[in-house]
Amino acid sequence: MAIQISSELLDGCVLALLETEDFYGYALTQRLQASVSVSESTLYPVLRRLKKNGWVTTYDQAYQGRNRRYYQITATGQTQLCTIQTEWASYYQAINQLLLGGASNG
Amino acid sequence: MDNYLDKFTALLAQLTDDERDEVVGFYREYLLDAGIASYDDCVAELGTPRQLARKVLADYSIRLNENLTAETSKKQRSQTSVRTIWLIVLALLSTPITIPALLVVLATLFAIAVVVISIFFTVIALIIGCTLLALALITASIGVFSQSIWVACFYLGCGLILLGGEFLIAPLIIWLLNLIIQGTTVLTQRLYHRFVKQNRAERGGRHNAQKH
Repeated sequence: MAIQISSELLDGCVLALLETEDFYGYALTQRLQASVSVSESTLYPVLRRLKKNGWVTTYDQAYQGRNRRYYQITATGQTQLCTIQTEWASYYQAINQLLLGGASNG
Repeated sequence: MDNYLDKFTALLAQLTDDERDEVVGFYREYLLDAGIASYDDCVAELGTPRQLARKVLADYSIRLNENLTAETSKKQRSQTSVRTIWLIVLALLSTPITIPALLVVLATLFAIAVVVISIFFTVIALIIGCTLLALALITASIGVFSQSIWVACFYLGCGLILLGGEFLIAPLIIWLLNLIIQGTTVLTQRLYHRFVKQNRAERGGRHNAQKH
């Protein structure tokens, strides 16, 4: 997809994925890349920001003699996800009207 | 892979140890999970260590106010700090704030500058004084060597102790000076943000641009 996803939307997408289940870094990247075009190195800053804001927490789990760091959504993260979802709904409508409204009228 | 991560780690010298460990840990885990072992495959996946480090550091830039293009040493960081102070002074001078506020800001900056400069000169004078004293003692010890070997030894010992002491505390002094410069930068920035409220929108814009 040629359109770049904004960081707020990316936050929302990551939170939405984490609401379904806990992910570790690589799996989360793969899952995101299946839907939107984000580079492999984009995700760490996003996760760091989410963690700093208290929207996700991390815990380590042993896996094949090393640790995997899992990311888990928090209660405030769920609130934030709702906020982003609401904002997206209005944004989506506004863009749709601008972008597609003209074509359907004409 | 270790080679890649080592290079990456080296480029993140500006971060604190905890932050660096966390970033490198994240990418180590990522590469292990992705089953990527060779250096070239790492580059293909994440970009060169430099590109990756730049990306990570860009995320910290709001807090660090750093030059992101190169691995900055402590000295360079001080230079960046000094430049920041000057830029802020210039920005303040070119900002239409009321004259009394301007006077307060300038007086504060002047006071800070005087204190910092006097500390610098004191430290430099102390260092020069100690070195001269040590050299004088050593010279004196050579002078009295023929008369009394024990007095000569005493002088020589004192001189060497002084010199050694200087070398010992040199890193501490450098660290302190760095701290002072960086502290001054932070103080100046606070001052700037306090008096230049009307630029908030502009700063917000820049802040958003950096997030992408």
